Amino acid sequence: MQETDLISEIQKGDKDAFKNFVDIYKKFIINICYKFVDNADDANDIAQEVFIDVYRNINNFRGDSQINTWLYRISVNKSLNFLRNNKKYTQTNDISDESFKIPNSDNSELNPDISLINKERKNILDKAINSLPESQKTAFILCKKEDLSYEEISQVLDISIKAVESLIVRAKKNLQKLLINYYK
Amino acid sequence: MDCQKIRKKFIFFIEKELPAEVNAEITNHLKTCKKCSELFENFSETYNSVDLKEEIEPKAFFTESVMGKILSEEKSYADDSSAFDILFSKFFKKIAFTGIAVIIALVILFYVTEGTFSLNFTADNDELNTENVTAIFFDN
Repeated sequence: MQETDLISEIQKGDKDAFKNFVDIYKKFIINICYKFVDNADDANDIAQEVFIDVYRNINNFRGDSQINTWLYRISVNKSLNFLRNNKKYTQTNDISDESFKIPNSDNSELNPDISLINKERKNILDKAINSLPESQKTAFILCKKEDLSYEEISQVLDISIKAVESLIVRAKKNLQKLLINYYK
Repeated sequence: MDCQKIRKKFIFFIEKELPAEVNAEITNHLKTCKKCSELFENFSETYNSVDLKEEIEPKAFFTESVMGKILSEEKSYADDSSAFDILFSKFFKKIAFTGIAVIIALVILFYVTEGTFSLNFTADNDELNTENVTAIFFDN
């Protein structure tokens, strides 16, 4: 079944079609959320909320944008809301904090080839990314971790391409400062 | 360029976003400055970890869990709305019966009181008429 047919079946209230939809997109959505929260359990929970939101609002999807863009938008918003409302993420943004050097238990699901040093480096970078202003962080993650083009990011965030460029340049400048200060 | 200026451009150097001459200057500086070179090594390895594309798998029974939540949400919505319907219809029945009873009572009351008023009015008129007649009689 094609994507548009699947959507129109869901819009008619076909639950089997929606189950099919969840099966197709679950890995995609979980991994978008994971890029933001860096925790497999939380990413799974947020992704469930994303699908419930999709089901509730499927009749609002009229095919003006691609389904991926719409799913990105919902996933990003849900992830950012989760980060805003969750103290464990809002209280630990200082990259000079020694505690985050210890690889956390969530990394058990990472590729085992990644060495401990790489995990630690990744932790330092993630911490630095998480301390960026929300709009810069979102644009940077979509660009560098999701490999979206500036045009795609502009569609997801509903801003101009120029604004995306500006956000990413500012994100890089801030990351530059944070990482240099860390290694100095 | 001095060390501070070089260090401020590390990310853009890694991303190859600098003009060729600046790029060449940084490359030469890193060959000769040990401190900057060490700093750059750590910096670039950390920054490049953004390219580690790790993927996670959905938890077991993810789809079932989503479908379960949707079904229970719909069921609770249906329960709420049917309970509301029952409550609403009983409420409406009561209102309708009370309304009809009140209207009937008002109609009866209206007719009864209208008769009384009209009787009183006639009696008053009669009294007035009598007084008027008496007044006219004595005046004369």
